[in-house]
Amino acid sequence: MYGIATYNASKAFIKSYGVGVANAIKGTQLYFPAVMAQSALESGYGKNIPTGSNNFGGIKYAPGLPGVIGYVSADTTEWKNGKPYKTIQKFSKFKDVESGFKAHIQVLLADRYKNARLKATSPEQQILMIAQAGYTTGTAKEYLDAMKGIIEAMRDISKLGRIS
Amino acid sequence: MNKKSWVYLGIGTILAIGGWLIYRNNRNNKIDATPVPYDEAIKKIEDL
Repeated sequence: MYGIATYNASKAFIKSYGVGVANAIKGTQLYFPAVMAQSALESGYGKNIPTGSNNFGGIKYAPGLPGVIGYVSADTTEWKNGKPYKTIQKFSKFKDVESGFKAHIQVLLADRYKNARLKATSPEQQILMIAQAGYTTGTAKEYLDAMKGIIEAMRDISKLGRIS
Repeated sequence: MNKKSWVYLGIGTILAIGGWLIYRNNRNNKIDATPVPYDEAIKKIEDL
C-alpha cells in the first residue's frame, strides 16, 4: 500500500520521465514499474541526485559508460554485514538527463541481471532478483521493501508491465 | 444502529475489502503477464 504523496510524486515522475524510460526499456524484458520505481527511489524522485550529475540510478563512477563526463562525490548510505553506514562515494556524472536514464537501463541490461530480466514474473520479483544479483550493498529484501509501495503506485498509475 | 446492523455492516465491509483485494490482485497479475506494444505504452503515458 502507498499514500497519496507517493501517488502524486509517482505520477509526476512518470509524466516527466516515463516516455524516455519506455523508449529505453522497449523489448528488454524490464518492467516499466520496476525501472521507474528504482529510479524514483535512488534519486528521491529526481530531487536527491548528486548535484549536477543527472544520475537517476545511483550509479557509481564508471568512466566507460556512454554519456559519462566525470564524477561527483556525494554522501551516501552503504551497507556492510547488514549494517548501514554513511560514506562519501564517487557517482557518475552524465551530460544530460536522457544519458543518465539510458545508463541506468544499460546497467540493468548487463549479463548479471539476465535472470532477473527474463525469469521475473512481476516488477517486485524483478527488483528482488536485481538486488540479489548485486545491485545494492544492502539486503535484497530491504531493497524491495523500500520500493514496494512505489512499484505499486507506478503500476496502478501507468497500467504497464513490460513493453514490447 | 442495533447490534445486528453492526454485524451486517462489519461483514459487508470485510466482503467489500476482500473483493477489492481479489480484483486488484487479478488486475495486477494481468498487467504483469501482458506485454504492452510500444505505441500503446507511449499513448498511456502521454494520456496521464
